[in-house]
Amino acid sequence: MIPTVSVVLLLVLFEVLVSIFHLGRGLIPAPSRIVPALVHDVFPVYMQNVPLTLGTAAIGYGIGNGLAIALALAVFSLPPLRVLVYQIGLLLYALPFLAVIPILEVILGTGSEPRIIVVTLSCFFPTLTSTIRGLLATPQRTRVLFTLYGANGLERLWYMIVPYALPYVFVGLKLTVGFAFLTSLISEWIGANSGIGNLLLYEMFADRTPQVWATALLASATTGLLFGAMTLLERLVLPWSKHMSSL
Amino acid sequence: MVTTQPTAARLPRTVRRPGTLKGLWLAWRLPVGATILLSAGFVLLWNWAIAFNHWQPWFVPPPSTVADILAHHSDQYSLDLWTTIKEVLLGFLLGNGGGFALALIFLVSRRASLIVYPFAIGFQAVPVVVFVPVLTLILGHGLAVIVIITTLICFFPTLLSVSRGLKTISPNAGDLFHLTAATRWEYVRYLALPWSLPYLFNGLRTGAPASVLGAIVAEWVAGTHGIGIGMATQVQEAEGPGLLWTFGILSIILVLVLTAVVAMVERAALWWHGY
Repeated sequence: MIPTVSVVLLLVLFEVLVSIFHLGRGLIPAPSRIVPALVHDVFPVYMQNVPLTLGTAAIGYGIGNGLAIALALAVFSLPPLRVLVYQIGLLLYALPFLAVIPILEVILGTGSEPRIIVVTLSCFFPTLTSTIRGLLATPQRTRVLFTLYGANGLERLWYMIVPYALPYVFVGLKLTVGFAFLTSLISEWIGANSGIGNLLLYEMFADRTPQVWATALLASATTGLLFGAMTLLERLVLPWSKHMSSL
Repeated sequence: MVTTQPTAARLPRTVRRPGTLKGLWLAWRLPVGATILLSAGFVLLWNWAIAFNHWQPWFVPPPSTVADILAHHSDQYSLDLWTTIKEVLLGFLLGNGGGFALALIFLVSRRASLIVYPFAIGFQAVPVVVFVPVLTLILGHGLAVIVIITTLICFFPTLLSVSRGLKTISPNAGDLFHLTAATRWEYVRYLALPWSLPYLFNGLRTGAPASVLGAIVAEWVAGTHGIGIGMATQVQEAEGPGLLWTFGILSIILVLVLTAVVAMVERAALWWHGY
């Protein structure tokens, strides 16, 4: 109740301050100017550009997460490497790969290859570290139980380790879906001539203020939708994971 | 009633006081070892890639060129490096400090929490970097936009982490403070503050690399100087990519140094928290 009221109050206050008191010298458009710009002007162009940005994001997302899960499984079967790979993964996770995209563009050109590489890296390490954590998350009691019942290696993997690990895998999948889109978008700020990132800059340099606001809002909505889709997928695949949502 | 030794959120497994050589060695062998190993591997890979692909020095510079620029030509990058460091540090301190302070205010004032917290949750889901062009239109090119972005990047994770942490204060400890008629200030200073520190460092650890990346990326759109601007303009330079690569290496060093400083401060401040 209070949240809804405060959001509505804030929007009304925003509108009043900007439209009636002319706050922000025209640089902060009122909601009543952003909405028409969004519907009539920005939305069609956004839909034209979003396949490129989203496509780059999707390819990188698929490769990055696929490799991460595969490597996590490989590392899991070699116990001495677990901690080492986890630590190295955490360290590399922190590195600013997106920041060095100008270097990648010098080597690979300004097509989609350097962008896919950067998106792949932005998805790889979060999922790698959370999947390794998940594979190690089976409680001691359960492991003892499986040993007592004489479960073989494959049964342990399929009925014990994988069900415990999947919620952690989805932590990575949900976290990186927004990363992938944003990384793809931001990488288009350097050297691209289409895509949502390029659209944002184009409108900024043209001083089309309401359009820039509308594009930024649509991009935020896109990341929200992607996250929502992955959450829905998790609910469908792992109906039992609701109580683990605090992960 | 006042105890200067704060209650640990988790009981320490083995308390190793900082300052003992053994404690330092145990704490640092893995991260330092991994960093050295990876750096060496990176330089080897870099050299090998040049030899394998027959890349010319004007296309990809050898590590020695970059080392030479780093060591002897600091005038070529010092202004940009200093600008980025300023942006990152300002945003890091403002964002984390603000998030931490607001979380403590929420603890004291339930009303403030009810009104502001929903906005915090809502804004946390907004990808702030997308709004760099918007902010640039409002504030113009320069430091302000980039500091605002790095501040916002650090602010929300810390606010949410500390808020969540403060919700886990043990009811027993709270009862003790009530029974001994502690004032609200004493409750905050001697229970909530130490209790929240591990959660604050959670936020700092997330914020350290994110603020550097955020600053560099924001510079592409809104900067006048900085590592990001240096890299973006060097792409077109004809005199060789040495400086471009130097800026890339500098951005990585900046992340590693800031992360290491946060980890060191954390170990010194939270020696009681089970390291």
